[in-house]
Order: sequence, then structure tokens, then C-alpha cells
Amino acid sequence: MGKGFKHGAGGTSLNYKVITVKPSSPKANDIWVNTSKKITDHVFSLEEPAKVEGRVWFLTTTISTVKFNALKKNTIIVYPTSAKQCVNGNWIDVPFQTWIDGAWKEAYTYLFRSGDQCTDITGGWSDIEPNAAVLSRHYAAASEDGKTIDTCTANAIDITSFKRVNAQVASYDETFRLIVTDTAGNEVASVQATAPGIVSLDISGLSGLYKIKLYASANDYGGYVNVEFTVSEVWLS
Amino acid sequence: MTVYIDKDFKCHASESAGTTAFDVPFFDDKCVAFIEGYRYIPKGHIWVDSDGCVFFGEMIAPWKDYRELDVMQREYEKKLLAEYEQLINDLYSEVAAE
Repeated sequence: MGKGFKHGAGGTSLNYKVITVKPSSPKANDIWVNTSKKITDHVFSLEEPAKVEGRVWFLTTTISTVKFNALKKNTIIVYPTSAKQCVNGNWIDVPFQTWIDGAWKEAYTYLFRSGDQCTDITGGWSDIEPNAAVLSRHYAAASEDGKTIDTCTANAIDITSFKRVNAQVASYDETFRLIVTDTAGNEVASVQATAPGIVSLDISGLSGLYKIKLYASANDYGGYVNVEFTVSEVWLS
Repeated sequence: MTVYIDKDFKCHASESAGTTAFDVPFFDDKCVAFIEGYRYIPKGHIWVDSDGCVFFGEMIAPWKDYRELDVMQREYEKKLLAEYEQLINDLYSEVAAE
């Protein structure tokens, strides 16, 4: 079994409980797993554990919207990002939610949402005002070829356990791209927006630390350049 | 650089049956092993992954572990640099001998 933290269903020393039915009065760190199959035990681990029928494997990394302290008396902070259950010898994705701060929360990892730059993960987005409601850049001027606009996470982010980076694009220039760069700023993956809405980039081949960037370059309309984009949400899934 | 994509949008450095050529500047100066670890979805095309998630082109993303691709690209660049340095040394030697 890979390195990790294994337990049955919960216990007096633990600060959470794994359940399959949402209670009428949930407790902090109740983890509801959406499965009809009996959960025999569960593991929190980055590495794949042994396949035991009914076992739920919560894949953990260093960032999560549903992180919690697993112990009542001491501290082990756990960062679950996705869950799988061993069904008929195979790992099957199972959705889960955690009761945190009075609400059921999913394990998306947001990088920008509702004006929140998620600075504890991103370190902030470059060239964006702290209270900006959206990630928006715009440039317009007479005759300036090659002008580019972008915004990028200050921090490199551990994207190991994620398969996609997504952006909710409200408006965009035809050159707009969602980009993943290495820590030196070199582009390693990108996708263009084709319409307002959700644009997704496959990052299943990437593991480790990378930065997320939104980018557009100027179009020269006969001596006048205009370039812009507006993104309301960015998240890993 | 011209790359050739197959029905799964995986890139190939040389043409073969069932592949389609595209000019993709991202792959300029990249070695064969690096190129063939990538997937390229051209604009106007759609790829659906094994989870059923839909991706629209234009998209460029590695399908192999990028850490391995990066190592191979760096080794390729080191080899090229060594070849260029040898070439320069040979040229200097010729000039010195004249």
C-alpha cells in the first residue's frame, strides 16, 4: 500500500466521519461519499493503495477546498481532492462532499472565483487589482503591433492530482488562451477559447508545480490595436 | 514545425498512413520524443477523453508524463550544443592551420 492514512469508518480520536447518507444535522468534516456500494475502509493517500473491494481512496495533495484536520487532539491536515472506490477490482470515480463551515462543499480547487483570487493557493494574479470582481485585461491603442496582455498566478501550483484546468470565459479576443507554464514561464500546454463559456485544458500529463496564465495578443486593425479578455472563474478539476 | 496527428490527435514527427499534417510553431526546435508525447487538437476539432470530458481545439497538451518529455528535450539540446561546439572548434582549428 502506498504511503497514506488508512482507517475504518471513523472513531473517537478522529475529527471526521465518512458517510454514505447525508444526515439532517451534519457535523463538521462529515465526508459524504456518493456511492451505493458498502465502504469497507478508506485511505487518504497521494499514491494508489492496494485494491480492496469497497475501499474508498481519497487522493490527497497539498491544496484542497475541503482540507480538514483529521485529529481531535493533535493535527494532521488532510487535503482530499478526489475519491475513487474499488468496485469489482477496479477504481471507480465517486463524487464526495465535505461539511465545512456550515455547508456541503465539493473538492474543486478554485484559483479565482467571485472576486476571490484564492491567494493562499495562487499567491494572487498578476496585474489584477486585489478587489477585482473578474480577471480582466484590456488594451487599446493606435498602432502598436505585438502587444500582449496576460495575468498569471504568482505561485506555482501543485497540479499533480488534477486532470483539467478550467476557465469560465465571459468575453475574449480571438487570440485568448488558457496556458500552463513551468516555473520559468515556459509554456507547456495551452487551449484557445472558441466561444464565451467554459474552456478546459487537459493537464493529465502534468504533475508537480506549474503556473496558470490567461493570455491574449493584439490584433492590428489597420493601425489600431484592441485586445481584451474577461474571465470570471478559474478552477482545477 | 509540421507535425502529423493521428485519429486520437496524438502527434508524430513523420508522416504515416492515417495522419494529417499541421504547422504548429509550439513544436519548433523540439526533438522527436518530445513531439510524440503531445496531443494537438486543431481549431474546429473536438477530442473526448476517457472520462467523457470534451476538449475543443486549438489545444496543445502532453499525454505522456511531461517530466520525461522535458528530460529528453534537455538531453537533445545538450547533444546539439555539444555538436555546435565541436563544429566551432573544428572551424577555429582550420583557420589556425591556414
